[in-house]
Amino acid sequence: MNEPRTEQLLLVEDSDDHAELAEFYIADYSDRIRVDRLHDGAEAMSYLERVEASPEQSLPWLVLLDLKLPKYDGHEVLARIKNSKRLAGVPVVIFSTSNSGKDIRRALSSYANSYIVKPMEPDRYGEVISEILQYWELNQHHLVQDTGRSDA
Amino acid sequence: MISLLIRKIPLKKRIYSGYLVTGTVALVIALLSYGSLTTLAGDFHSVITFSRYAEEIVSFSAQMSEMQRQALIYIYSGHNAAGERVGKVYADMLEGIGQIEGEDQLDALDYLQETKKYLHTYYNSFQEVRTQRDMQQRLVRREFRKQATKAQLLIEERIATLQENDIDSTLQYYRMLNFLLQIEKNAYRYFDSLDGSFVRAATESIRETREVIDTLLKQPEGDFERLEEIAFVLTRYESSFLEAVQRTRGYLYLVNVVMSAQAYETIYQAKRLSSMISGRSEHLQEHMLDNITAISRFLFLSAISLLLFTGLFSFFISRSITVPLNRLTRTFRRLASGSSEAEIPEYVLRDELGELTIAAGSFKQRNIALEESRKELRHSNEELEQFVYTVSHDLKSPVVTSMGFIGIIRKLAGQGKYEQAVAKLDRVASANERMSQLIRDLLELSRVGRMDMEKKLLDLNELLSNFAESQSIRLQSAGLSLLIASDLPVIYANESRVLQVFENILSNALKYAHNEAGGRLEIDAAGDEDRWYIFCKDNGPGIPLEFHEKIFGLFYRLDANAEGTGVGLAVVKKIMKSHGGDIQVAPQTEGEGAVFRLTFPKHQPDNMNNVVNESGRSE
Repeated sequence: MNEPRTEQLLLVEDSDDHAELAEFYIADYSDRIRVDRLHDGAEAMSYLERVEASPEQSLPWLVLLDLKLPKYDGHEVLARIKNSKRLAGVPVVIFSTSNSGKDIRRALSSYANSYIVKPMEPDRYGEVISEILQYWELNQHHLVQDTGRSDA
Repeated sequence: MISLLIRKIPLKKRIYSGYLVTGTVALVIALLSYGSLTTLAGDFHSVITFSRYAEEIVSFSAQMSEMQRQALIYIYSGHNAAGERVGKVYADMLEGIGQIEGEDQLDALDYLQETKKYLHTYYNSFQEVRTQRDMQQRLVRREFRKQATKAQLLIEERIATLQENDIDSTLQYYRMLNFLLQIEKNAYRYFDSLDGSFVRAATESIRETREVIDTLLKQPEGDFERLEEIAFVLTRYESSFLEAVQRTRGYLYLVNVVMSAQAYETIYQAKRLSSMISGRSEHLQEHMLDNITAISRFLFLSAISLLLFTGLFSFFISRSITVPLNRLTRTFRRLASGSSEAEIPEYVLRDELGELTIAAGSFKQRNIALEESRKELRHSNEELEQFVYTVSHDLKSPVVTSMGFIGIIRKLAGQGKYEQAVAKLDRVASANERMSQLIRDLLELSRVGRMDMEKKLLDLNELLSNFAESQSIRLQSAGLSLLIASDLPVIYANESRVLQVFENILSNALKYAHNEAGGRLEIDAAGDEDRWYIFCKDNGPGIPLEFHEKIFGLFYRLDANAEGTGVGLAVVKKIMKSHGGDIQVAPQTEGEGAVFRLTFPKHQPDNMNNVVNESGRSE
């Protein structure tokens, strides 16, 4: 934190509205986070393949992944990341409207690092974003295993 | 072998024929037994008859003795009743023989004739005896007495003529008279007692009388003439006596020798007959015993073989019933446990077991149908779950948006950036707008299939030309040309739903089929044996293969930022399913546009009300 540096956050989100909300609150939290927005599963897949293929390119600091996406859905993207040797270490936070147990179990068993449900209260969205960023800012993601938050 | 034969006979006939065959065998045995027993009864009857004959014949001896006794009584006493009695017994015996002759079926006739002959001779001899006796009686009572009286008179007359002084002569004549009395006394004694000594005594007296006469003849003063006369009478007297004796001896001979012989002969013949009959009877009894043994053995063997036969037969019949029945029971048990894979045993006959087999078949069909509908139910449950999941997710999304923006607005307002805050209100409004659009679309989707689907024959040519006309303004403004083939089929469907299908496909094309040369949508048709295929082909970028299924999912959009909620194609899918048809993305070649293939069944099932519950996917 003493050395100002920019972290890359990969935002996979099909809804422009949700993307704008996330970007607003991320920017509000810190101007040192660069948000790269991907619109659907297919875009995410090709981006990840590019990163995986070029060792000199640095890995994203954090992936904020929506589940319901056109073309390939979030689960498929998550599996793609966690099955890749190079990408597996990238923390993936599932950020979805779904609070279905099935989705949560599936995501966690695919080694999602965290599962956060998009809040439906007026001021909670910003708070949740802050909490996520704050948590991962500690750069301890390599210690974090399955959180098992089934009520997430 | 037997069981193979049995298996070809229907069940009811099988049981009946079993009883029939067993009954027939029993009847045959009974008939054979009846025949044997009838023969036996005949033999028994013969034995009874024989024993009666034997009894009859044995009574001959007694009757014969009785006859002989009566004959003797007659001879000694001269009682006529005894003679009549002999005749009566004779008649009785003849009658007895006649009876045997009449009834006899055996070759005993010779013996009977012989017996009869001897009996006849006997009776004839007896008649002869009676004649002889009558004549003897007459001789004794008339001739003999007459001569005796004559001699006595002659002597008494001579005594009367003699002088008182001729004492010697008088004495001689008295001696003569005395001798005459002696003769008569001995003669009657003989005739009474039939003792030969009296005959000798009588002849002695006659000789002495002759000596007296000879003595008198030597006297000179004798009456020679009278003496001659007395001698003559004496000779007649003697000869009549001797004749009577002769006759007596004659009939005695007849009685004692001839008749006895006949009687013995008769009895002998009767005994022979009797022994012959009893021999026959014994033979017959032995035969009967043999027969009885044979019959009892036959009945015993018959009973055993009938038992074995019946047992074997019923074993085969019951097996031919229980084996398939058990097989069916096992099948039914499996069927009852809900199995749709239970094997139905093969049974070709259309009898009770056949009906049961058919019932098992129906049971299995029902189980299969049940399994099918269970699967369908599970499937539709899964779809419902998916539907609820999708709906909840997609309805939450605008809420998240509007809440999030409200948060931003508050924040901006707090920082005094009012203009920016007000600008964000539009985002809240559009999120809410989208929310209400989603709700409207959902209602629309749920209406498909829930509402009454009144179907009729639709000429697609007419329907689509009207459709093209109604959409002309929209088409013009979007620069999309709609090309409709002229040989479209007539289908059986709900008009407004089918219109909705084409409307949604058109909307889809309007959203995606953008081309530099302008959009185009072509509609044509093809058919096979039982389906019509309607092809809707656009000239857009086409749909990658991996999304061919997904695009029909509810709220699914290939382009997240294209307009619409992702309900359109889900609605189309649901409508097509409810018509017994389907919609699919047809395989396409690279660079060609998307081709939707609508399938309509050609035959129209009567009951199309069972709407396929399709949660729907979209666009």
